[in-house]
Amino acid sequence: MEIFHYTFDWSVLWRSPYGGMLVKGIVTTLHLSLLAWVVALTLGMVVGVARVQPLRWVRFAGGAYVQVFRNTPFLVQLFFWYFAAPLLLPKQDQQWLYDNVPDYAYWAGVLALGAYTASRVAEQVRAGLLSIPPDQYRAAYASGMTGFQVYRYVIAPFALRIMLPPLTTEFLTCFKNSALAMTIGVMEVTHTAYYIDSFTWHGLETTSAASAVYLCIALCIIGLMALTEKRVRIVGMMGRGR
Amino acid sequence: MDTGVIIRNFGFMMGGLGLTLQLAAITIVGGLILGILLALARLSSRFWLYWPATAYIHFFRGLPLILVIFWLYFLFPVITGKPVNAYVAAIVSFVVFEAAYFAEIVRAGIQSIPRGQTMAARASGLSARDTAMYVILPQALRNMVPALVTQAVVIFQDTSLGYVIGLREFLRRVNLVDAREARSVELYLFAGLVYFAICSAGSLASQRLEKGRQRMHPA
Amino acid sequence: MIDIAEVSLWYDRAHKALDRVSETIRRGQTVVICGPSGSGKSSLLRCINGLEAFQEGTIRVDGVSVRDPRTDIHRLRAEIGMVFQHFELYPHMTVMQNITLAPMRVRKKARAEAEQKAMALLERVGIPEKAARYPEELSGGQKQRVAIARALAMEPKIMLFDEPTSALDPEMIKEVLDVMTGLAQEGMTMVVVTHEMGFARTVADRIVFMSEGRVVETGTGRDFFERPQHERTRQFLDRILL
Repeated sequence: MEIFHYTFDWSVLWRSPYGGMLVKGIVTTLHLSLLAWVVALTLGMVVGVARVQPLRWVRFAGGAYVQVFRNTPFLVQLFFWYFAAPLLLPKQDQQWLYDNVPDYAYWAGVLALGAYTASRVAEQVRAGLLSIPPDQYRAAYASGMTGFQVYRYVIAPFALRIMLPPLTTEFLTCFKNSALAMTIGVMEVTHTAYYIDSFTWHGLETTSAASAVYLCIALCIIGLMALTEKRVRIVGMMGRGR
Repeated sequence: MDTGVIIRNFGFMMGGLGLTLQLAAITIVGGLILGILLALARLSSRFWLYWPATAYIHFFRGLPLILVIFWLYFLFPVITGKPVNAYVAAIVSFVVFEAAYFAEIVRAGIQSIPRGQTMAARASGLSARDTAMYVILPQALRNMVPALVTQAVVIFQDTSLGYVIGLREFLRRVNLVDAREARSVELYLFAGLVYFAICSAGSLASQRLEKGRQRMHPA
Repeated sequence: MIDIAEVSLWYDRAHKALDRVSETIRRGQTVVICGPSGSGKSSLLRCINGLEAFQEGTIRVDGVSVRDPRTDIHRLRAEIGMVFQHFELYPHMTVMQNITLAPMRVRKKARAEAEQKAMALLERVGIPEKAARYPEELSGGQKQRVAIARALAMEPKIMLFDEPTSALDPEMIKEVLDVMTGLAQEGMTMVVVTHEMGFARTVADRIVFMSEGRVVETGTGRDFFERPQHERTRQFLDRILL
């Protein structure tokens, strides 16, 4: 096929060695964003819960975390974790890092993406917790439950359901942001698409394919979450008027 | 810590901030105009307006910005037959991409106005156009302003991606200085600080506006 | 049974919610607290089971000091039932689960025993058929009756009611007040914040009128309505009784 003097060659998507490279890139994108998501969810829950605590300094610490990570570009954070963070370690640890962690770029990507996404997750957790009326907490405490029991049986099961849709959106953002890891040399799918261009001059085909991959995976996740939402729906409450 | 490296290269790095701001300004204006058109199309009852706009918005919201930049970067020469200018490629990708996000903000703003407002305006004899112009849009716009300011802050951060196709904006220049001087800790902390100062000012403004809005229209 | 002595509560330096409040409530009494909004009625109620941390004074429940750090506050709260304006049923649990949660988790009762007791209580409030329903499927009056059953499931010595009928449609108020009247007649010790003056007149042993964080006057039903001592009380009664 030829359009505007450009001859399309879609075989670049499956031809050896490029086909294998693309598959590897997709797999890297997936586990990079999943690992980062685990970090983000854990850290984000802690920071988000901290932001609604009565103790002032705990609230302040949570707020400061969110401000710092949301008001600087993710790319700067990525560069910081990759280029600058190792230099803050003592000399012998730096050497150990260079000798023993050959794929440090990957781990810097996981850390950076996790820490950044955590600040976004924290905001959703906070909003979810604040949407529960204070009397709901009081009702649970008034029945004699301990703080842990109150969160475990009353607040968390409800708040997690409220948070499911916004957290799905945040996961998709995390998944898309993983593409930026290419700037520090991680061979995820966007980087692979760009990289193959330098051998074949067929970057248009590979970036189009990468776009299709992102859209398909996003669709799968949205579908999966819609199913989950239906399963954990609270009778008479959710999915009404929306 | 060696702050000398920042002082020595201060002029060079801050020079890139001009380009960063320029990219952000053009993207905000262009993205907003395109976004409003997309939002109106999406709210239209005509399927040939509704479907393309909806598809456009979902398409670009599903992709990473960096991939859109590359994609257009490769697509341009195919259409024009000439090698593409990085500046143009960056601007077009930013506008096309951010318009999808602006469109959703605008749509939410318009839909946040209760239907009773439309009915009341129409009941008093106003035309559909006048209802939109004098009743719905002024209220919707006021509701949207905080979200629009937040999005402007995001765009300001997103322009750092111009880096990947070689635009010498602020972050690229910091990167170049680092390549020469090997002072990563100082330089990236400095870069973070500059972005942080500008973005926090924006975030703060957005919060102020939101509070002001809630005072005027409780709930 | 409840001894409130010189209790003061500040939310912040500028805003004093309670100003040296003293009251004694004896076993089996029903005490109604009324007053304009913002007068500190609900705050006082929450101080009794330690949901609000007051800064000065003491409250003793059955001789146990609420603010004493040696007091097991969870155990104390288990002995005090509380009912809220907006019901505060746990939306993700059925009516049955709502009622049995605290008996099972706090009192460590077996499920069968807890459910048997819950059914008996649902009979008593007149809606045994709703046991398997979710809160959002009930009317406001039914929700509040479930909330009362939930509080009674802990076999409390004291019941606190925080404006239990303010969020109800007029035709549902009676069904809730009937349950409360029944409880009072059986000798439950009750503290009720309410604007239902009919209930106050017929059921309350004593009425406490509060304004701006202070107790303005207290009296038995008849005295309070027919011979109010203070100007503030007269103004309030004029406004509330047409």
